[in-house]
Amino acid sequence: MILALRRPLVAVPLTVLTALLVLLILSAVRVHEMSDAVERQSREAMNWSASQMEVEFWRLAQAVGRQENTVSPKTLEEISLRIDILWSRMRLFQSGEMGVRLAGLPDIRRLVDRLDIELRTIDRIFHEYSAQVALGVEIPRAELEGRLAPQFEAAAPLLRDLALEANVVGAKRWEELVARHRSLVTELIGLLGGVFLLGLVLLVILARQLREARQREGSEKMEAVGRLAGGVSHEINNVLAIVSGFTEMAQKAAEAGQPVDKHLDRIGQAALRGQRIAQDLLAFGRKSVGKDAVFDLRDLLIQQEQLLLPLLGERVRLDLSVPNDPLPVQGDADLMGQVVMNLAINARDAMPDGGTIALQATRKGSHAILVVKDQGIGMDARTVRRIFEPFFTTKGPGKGTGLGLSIVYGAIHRIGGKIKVASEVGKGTTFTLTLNRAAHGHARCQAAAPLPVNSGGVILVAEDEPDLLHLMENTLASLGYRVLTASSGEEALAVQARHDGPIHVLLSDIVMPGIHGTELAQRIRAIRPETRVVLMTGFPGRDIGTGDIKNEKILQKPVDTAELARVLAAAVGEARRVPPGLGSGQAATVPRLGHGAE
Amino acid sequence: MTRLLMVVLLWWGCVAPVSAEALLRKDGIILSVSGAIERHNEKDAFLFTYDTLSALGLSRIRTSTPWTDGVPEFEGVLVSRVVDYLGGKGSTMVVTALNDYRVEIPMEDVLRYPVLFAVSMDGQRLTPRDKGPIWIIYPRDQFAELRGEKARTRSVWQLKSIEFK
Repeated sequence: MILALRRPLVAVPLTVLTALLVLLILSAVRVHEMSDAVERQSREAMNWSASQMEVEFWRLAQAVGRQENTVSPKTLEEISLRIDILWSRMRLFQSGEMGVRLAGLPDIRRLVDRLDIELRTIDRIFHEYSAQVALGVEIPRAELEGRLAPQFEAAAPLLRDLALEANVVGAKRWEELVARHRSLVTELIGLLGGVFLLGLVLLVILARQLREARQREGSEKMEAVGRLAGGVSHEINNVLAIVSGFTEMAQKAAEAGQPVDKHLDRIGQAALRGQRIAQDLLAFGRKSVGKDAVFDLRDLLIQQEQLLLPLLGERVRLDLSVPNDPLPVQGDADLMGQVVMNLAINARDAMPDGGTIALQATRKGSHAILVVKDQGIGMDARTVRRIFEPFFTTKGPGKGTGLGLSIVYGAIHRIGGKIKVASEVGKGTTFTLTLNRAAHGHARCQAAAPLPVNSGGVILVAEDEPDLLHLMENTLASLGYRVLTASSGEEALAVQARHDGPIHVLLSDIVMPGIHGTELAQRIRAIRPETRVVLMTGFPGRDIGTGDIKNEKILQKPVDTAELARVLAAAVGEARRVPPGLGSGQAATVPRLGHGAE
Repeated sequence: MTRLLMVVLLWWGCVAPVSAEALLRKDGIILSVSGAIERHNEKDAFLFTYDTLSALGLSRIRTSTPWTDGVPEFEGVLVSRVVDYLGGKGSTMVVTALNDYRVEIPMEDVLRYPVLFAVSMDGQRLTPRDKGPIWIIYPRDQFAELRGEKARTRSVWQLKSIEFK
């Protein structure tokens, strides 16, 4: 169920996320391209180079026009330098990045080619004169200037046109760049929009899947509840059928004057079976009972072994393996006992021809591992998937309630543990329970105390169910107590008012019409501070929240006689130790009786 | 545009006298170094000829530039070697070209990267007519960070002089 839920939840977002990632990478590449283009523009050197050419030509003309009569070697050297600089500038148009670009700009290239010709002519004329100067010939400056003038005149408009063309090219390039920039920005906005939309789609998909999952979960819950109700009614009907059938038979037998023991036995067994169903249901619905409690898993297993041995029969062997030291574990010992019992009984039932159940507890880091392994018939994968569902059972009708493993599952999860099943048809099944080890080795001691002897206290019983009240009266009387009965809270108050002498214990149902058990307890204690209170409830922990009853002992119905006896004995003992009148002026009005008052 | 107009006007208006700058080289001197240096062969300066410069040891770098075709091989003296040889101090070198183009090169550049005072390209001596005799070459193909505008403006050709600051 969990897997089926998760697969679409993961797969779709994964696909969408991958798409998002690809888009984001594309955006990043685009952004990079854009910044690259911008950077290139800053390197746009054509305008600059064109104007530099013009400046250098001008400087050359200045050198030629130096104020002197004859051309000096110094002037020639400077002219040579200026020509060198011009040639270096000219090369920029003919090679490298700008050379490549000029290949696509024939107008500018034509201008550069013509400038190249003029510069060559200037160069040639300059060399002619510098050779003459080297030979000692005196050259009038005006002559050199006159020879070079046509070249300068020809170069001037070329340079101007070059600068203008370069500007036009630069402007065009700028326009291109702006257009490109704009399209990139548009593209980016589109991509971001896409990302946003995809994110939205992702959110919608996720929301829908979550909703569907929740609905599915809800319908599964309803299904479970339906199955639960069906199972419960089926089980109870069985019990009722047995009870009514044997009651009828007993009546007939009684009329015929025959013994009815056998029939009553059957009825009693059916009642016990009903009680077991109720207990199972309670355990199933129990809240986080005993989450903070700690018990010794090793001790528990040793105790369980004693309980299990008679149940397993001759052909099933129990192989218990526990550590030498105590193994404190978080959780409720009773619940855990039920878990072990359930698993062991299942293991036994899986081995009709006998075999060995291995029960093994080990430490593993902060966990305790409990393995229950049988050599039985095993289960197929389909069965394994369903075994923790309530009322799912492979056992024959009337053999199991189908609640066992679901209780196990619930119990283990409630105490923060995990349960895993491995099974192979024909080879057996292994349950592996991972439990949280307790930080402190404080284990609750659950050694059975001997049943207390008759302690002769006075007990006031308040119970609105007449049959139960009657039963309780008989039970308590048989334990040797003096019993006062009341069928409601109000009546209980009236009874205690009429009663001269101590009331050691108030034993009250919590849920009653009129005055609740909790309120009754408070009132009685206000009047009789020495009276101990023991409450009973048929609900698992739900209605205990009202009033100050933290210190009260609460018994879960149906109440086990032995436990009732123990609790009452303790409470009576406590009540007797409290000196009358402690902390309450009213207590003085209560007549004191000796301990042997009955 | 204004500058262009001005240049054109000056061009036609020809020709004011130029102050005679120290543009001219005597006796094969190709580089003059001044400023915070410990070694001198002239008052407050060190002058290199092609021979004295290349005597410091020639290195080669193969790299493209925005001004050349293909991937030429440059040969020259590592700038860091010149700095060592002269005991150059300070954090910057102010380099000046024949046309008085001037730019500052942080010392860090030449200590971190093999920047070259290139004197030849593809086995041909660089002439003053083609960016010689010295061209500062950054290994831009080897280091991506040297492909930007800064290294570009520092790749001075027709190098004339250096001042350590």
